[in-house]
Amino acid sequence: MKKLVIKSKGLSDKAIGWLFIAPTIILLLLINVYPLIYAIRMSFTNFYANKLTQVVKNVGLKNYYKILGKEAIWEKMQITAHFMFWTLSLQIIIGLSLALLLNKKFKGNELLTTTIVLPMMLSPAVVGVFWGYLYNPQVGLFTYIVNFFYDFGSFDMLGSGTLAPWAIVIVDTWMWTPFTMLICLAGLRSIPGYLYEAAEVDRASKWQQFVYITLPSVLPFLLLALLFRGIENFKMFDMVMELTGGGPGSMTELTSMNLKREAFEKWKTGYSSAYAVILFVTIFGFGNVYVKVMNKIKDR
Amino acid sequence: MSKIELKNVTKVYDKTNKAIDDLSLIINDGEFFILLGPTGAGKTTTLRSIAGLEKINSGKILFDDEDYTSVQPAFRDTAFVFQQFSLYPHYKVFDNLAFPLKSRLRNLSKDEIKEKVEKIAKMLKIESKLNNKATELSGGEMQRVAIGRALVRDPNIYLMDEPLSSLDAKLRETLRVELKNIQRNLGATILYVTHDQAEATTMADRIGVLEEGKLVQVGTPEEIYNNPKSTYVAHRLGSPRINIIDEEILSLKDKPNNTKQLGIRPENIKINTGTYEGKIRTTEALGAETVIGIEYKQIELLALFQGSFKGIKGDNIKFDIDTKNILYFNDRNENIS
Repeated sequence: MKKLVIKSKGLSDKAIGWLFIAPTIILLLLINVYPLIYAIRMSFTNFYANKLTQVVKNVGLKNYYKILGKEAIWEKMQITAHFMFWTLSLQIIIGLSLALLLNKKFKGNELLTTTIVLPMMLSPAVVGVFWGYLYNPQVGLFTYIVNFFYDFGSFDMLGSGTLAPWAIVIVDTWMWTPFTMLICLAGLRSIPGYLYEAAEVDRASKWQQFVYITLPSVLPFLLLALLFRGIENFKMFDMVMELTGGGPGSMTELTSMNLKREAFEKWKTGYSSAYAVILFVTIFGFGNVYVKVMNKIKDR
Repeated sequence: MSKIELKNVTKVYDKTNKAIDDLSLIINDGEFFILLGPTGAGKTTTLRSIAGLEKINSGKILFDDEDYTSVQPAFRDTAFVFQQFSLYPHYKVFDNLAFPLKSRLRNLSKDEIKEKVEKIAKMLKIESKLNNKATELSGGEMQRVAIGRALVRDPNIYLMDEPLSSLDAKLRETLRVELKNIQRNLGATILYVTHDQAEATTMADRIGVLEEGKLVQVGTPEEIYNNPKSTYVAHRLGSPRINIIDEEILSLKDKPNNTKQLGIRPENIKINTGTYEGKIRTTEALGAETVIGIEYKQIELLALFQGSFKGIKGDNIKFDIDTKNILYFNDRNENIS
């Protein structure tokens, strides 16, 4: 009998596949994985990047003890937590509300969507700088508008220890609510219209339609937006750095800003490597648990 | 259950097209009424107008002689089965079935809801699936749940928009019989929309034939089959389709004046007897019957032959036409027999 299958010469499909992804993998290993491993190694040393002549000693877990025992660092964590809790809550609530509004058909809908999305497209540093002007107690538009409705007198959003943490919450919400809104809008658009018609004929009230159809359909999208915004805001740096520089005092100094000070102003390289590893583990752990929960909700 | 009446209903989507055009219709209490027509005839629009999902441009909709023309969908109390299985995807079958009962307009206790849902589930043979998620069901089961969600209620009318069209042929036949039985047992008023003539003839008490938004004829399946008002209606019922031919081809003696076309049902053409002679063009075996396409004076006549047929393409064949059952149409395609 004649042989029907002729063995093909050259590389197998699998080998070709590996060849195609090899450049990406090598690049990722070089710029992501290698520095990570290097940082972990450094976190066990007393290395100072500005004292290259000094002998580098292995200090074991000493850096970690130092960081976790330091009250100032827990204060930064608390500032970060406050920032994250309020920005995420506000962005989810306002974003979903705006999405519900824009999901209705009306004239000028698309123009309005584009306008709302604009802040998201700006550079965070630029946003930081011009909100600095808006918050100016003498000439700032923000101060003027607030005083227009109720005269608080002159107040300094960025100068006051109680107001500054809220000032950064407002700016981040202004900038990133469009993002959660867009994701929610995508979720809302994916709900087929006949479900609402069926519900209407089934005599469900508008509130029941929202609870039974809209919310469960949009929930996976909301959770995704929350994940993205959560990771982003945990490492928030540029916007706040430009706006307050961590001040007044260190009332708005988030962990990432604090880390930058330790690493590139005090040059405690080993110590700040440990700091970075702790932050990395925190966000990585949270992220993983979150994704697992999110998938469970999706499968529900 | 109620009597539903449409009075001169017109619905326009854009200026050039009338989706429904001056449609008047009475659906009696306890009647299984089927609207038959091809895509775009206005069937679905009629249903949606009755449910209140579309606002009509003119005319009136009456439920038991009461004007419901501008009443909100929720207060019309109709049950709608959509063409797509419109189940609520995040809930179990039980919750899907219970959903219409949870409306505040109803105010039922939990035990009442449970009892009603279980009764319907049993009727539709989905009681073992009550705890499954809606998305884990097969197509047939989904549509049963969708029908069940309508049946748990006791509405003014059940409106069904081609509920069986997305199912496979076998399941469609089974559900067809079930649906008819359920309707009889409940004494339900159903307005059912389809383009499938088999569904129309097997289930309907009365059929309404729609053509481009106009109701052309209303009657029992027999009336419409035996005495269609026009060639359009004649085409809608009957499989294989009716032969509509120019009257000159047969040149019959006793025919009404101004006859233009003749309509001959395939079962009224007898094979292997008679005076006409043609050629076999096609044969299609349907099991107990065979559909034979006969070439006669450059046209094709379809004949229905009982039993298995032995001729092959190209053979000469004799046939006879049962002249008593011929339908006569004038130049405006109207039946004048």
